[in-house]
Amino acid sequence: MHYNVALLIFTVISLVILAWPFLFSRHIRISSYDVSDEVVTVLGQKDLTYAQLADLEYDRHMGKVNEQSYLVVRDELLSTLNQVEKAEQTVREHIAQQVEQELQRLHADEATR
Amino acid sequence: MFVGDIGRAALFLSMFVVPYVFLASTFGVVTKNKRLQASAKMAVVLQFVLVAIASGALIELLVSLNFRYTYVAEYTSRGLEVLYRIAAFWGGDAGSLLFWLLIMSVYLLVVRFTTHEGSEQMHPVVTAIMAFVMTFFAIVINTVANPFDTLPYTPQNGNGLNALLQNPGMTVHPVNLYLGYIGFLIPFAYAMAALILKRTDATWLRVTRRWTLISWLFLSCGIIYGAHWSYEELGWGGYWSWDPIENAALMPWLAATAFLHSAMIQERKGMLKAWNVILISLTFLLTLFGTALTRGGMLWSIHSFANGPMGTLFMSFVGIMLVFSAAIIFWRFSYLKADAKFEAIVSKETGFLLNNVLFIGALFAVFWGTVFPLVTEAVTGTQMMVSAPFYNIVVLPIGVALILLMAIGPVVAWRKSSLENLGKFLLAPAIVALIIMLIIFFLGYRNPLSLASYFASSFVVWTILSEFWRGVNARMRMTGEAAVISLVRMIGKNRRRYGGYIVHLAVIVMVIGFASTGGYSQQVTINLKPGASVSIGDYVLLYHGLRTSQKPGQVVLSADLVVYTAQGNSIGVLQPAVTFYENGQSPSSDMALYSTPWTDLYVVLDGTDNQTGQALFEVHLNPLVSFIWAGGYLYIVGTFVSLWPEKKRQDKAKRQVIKNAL
Repeated sequence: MHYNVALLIFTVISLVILAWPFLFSRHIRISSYDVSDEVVTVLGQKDLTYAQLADLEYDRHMGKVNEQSYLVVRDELLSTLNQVEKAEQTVREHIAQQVEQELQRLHADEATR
Repeated sequence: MFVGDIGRAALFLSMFVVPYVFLASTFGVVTKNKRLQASAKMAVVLQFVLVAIASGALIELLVSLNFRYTYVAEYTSRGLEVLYRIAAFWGGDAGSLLFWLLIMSVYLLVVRFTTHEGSEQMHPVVTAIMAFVMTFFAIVINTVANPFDTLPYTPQNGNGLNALLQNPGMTVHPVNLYLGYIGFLIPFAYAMAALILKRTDATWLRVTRRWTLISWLFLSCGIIYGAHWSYEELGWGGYWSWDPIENAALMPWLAATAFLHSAMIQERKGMLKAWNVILISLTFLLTLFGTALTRGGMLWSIHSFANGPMGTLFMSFVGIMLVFSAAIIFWRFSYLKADAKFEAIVSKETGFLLNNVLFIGALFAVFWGTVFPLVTEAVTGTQMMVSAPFYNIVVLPIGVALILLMAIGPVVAWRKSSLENLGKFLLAPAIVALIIMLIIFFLGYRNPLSLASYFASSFVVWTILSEFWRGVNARMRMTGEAAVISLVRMIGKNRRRYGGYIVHLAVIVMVIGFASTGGYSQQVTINLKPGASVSIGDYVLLYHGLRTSQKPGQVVLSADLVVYTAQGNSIGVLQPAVTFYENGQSPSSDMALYSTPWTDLYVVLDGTDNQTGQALFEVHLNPLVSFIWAGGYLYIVGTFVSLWPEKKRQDKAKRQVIKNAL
């Protein structure tokens, strides 16, 4: 008896909780263009290059790498950093463009309603 | 019955809510339906609440000794301390599975409501994978091992918790193991999500680094506490017996340790992507395999819980997850190409790779030794157990090689190092280590493996201490800080690196303990009459006689042994005992221990003759056991240093790099 009552109460509460987003949340349409992948990739490359530079500086201070190797690797990493920063700029512009287009689309949707 | 009914109802409903989390998350991702994803997110909370209610109800039944419930009657009894009544929650099959489900629910809740840069897209997929695994547990608990099953009558008393489990270790060892085992589900789920979403960069590694470290720490603590428990409770004088279930915990630890090292190569160089995914999958599968071994009773072990259908179910699930992960890896293999190549043989990357080869070699040896009885049973019909010598011959030399690698690793640079540099950094520590080994040799300690371990350990200690010294010196030169401040700030700014070094030092402290007990323990088995004595090392033990005492439900037979030093000074009385239980459980042996930082005097009462008062004793003198436990605590400190978040200093680093470049 107790079991059936407890099960009934839990089931009702669970159904209300699970249905809540369908009943009371505003519908959110996901943009067809998702920029987060590009951002994450570029930021990941940037973090990676900084981490490699930090490791290189550490190895140099600890005497684990000779001056010649240090200079070669540092130039290589700075060049990579430069490319990554250019890519980051491109992605930023791309995102701004997408946001602008999305806003225009939303305004247009509002106007047609 | 009221509390039990609530618990049973909550547990029953969870069997439907968890699959809902899986389905809603999956279809939410596929259809990009935010409402479905939001509903799945709410279901995660609901799932946690339901499992928490069920767990709370079971604990209440255990504490109140409601013997109407089969589980309570099987694992508790009148007179059992409240602490062990609570511990009985994970003391039996059904309860421990519910405990697993509870931990998974907590982990899923935290994962779902924690945000990390770049991981938002992965959340629904990670949730779906975790929910899929949880679904298996929820179904098994509800259909095969329900802790809320009732008896047709209410017995007067329960069977009680196994005497071996009535130890404070019961509150620490299994909980740590479970937290560790289950924790590896999180990096595994992220790895699979990264593959499914084609996000095979190092994001998933960065997001899960702390989860992996925390799980690894729990698993490590579980293994160390397990060894301590075995040492203090089982009364055989040792702490590790290569028991199949001990191996079941060691195998995922070996795979996870290899993963922690190889993950650094992907994070730093974008290499070993496929290998890392394989390693974390292997770690997770080995945790399930370990559970199958523990639950299934397929192999003889003191840890086995049961012989029911659980083992078959878990092995089937291991098979399903193996096929799932292999299929995903194969499907996305083209996205797992390395961003860079190995540039030189002498480099940190090569060191990590060699480290992985050794760890996997050790893992393979332990795996083969563990499953060998199953293989022989399938072929010959009889289980042939693999004993300690096999593991000692195969695994211990690999261990020594790994220790040597610990010495070399810190002094090697990323990308490329020169042999000349290596020689410069390693020569002095090697000479110091050699001198230490020779001193130990001439002191008369000549066990070859122990000597090799002492050499390797000294080598690592000196290399790591030199690394700290060089780091502090470099910082002092640059900043003009005092040495202590420089040391603290250096560790603070490179927590991951120096935390790792502290963990390595902790391992070395433990290795010294292992090498000493393995090479130089002494043991005497002797039958003594009252008034007779036995000598071991610098101790003399004088036997006075037996005494009997009674506790509720127990009769304790103990022996009095007065301990003297070689100089004749009395240190105290040791009382090894045997406890007999009125409920028919097998008697348990309670060893007596006199412990100093340098030696453990460990006495077990093996048999008695009540007519003559004679007693059979097993006396062990174990050197440096305390180093193993002390190393365990240092290990925890090192992992915490490594875990502690570092401040974001990218902008500062960027300015510094540009300044240097100019």
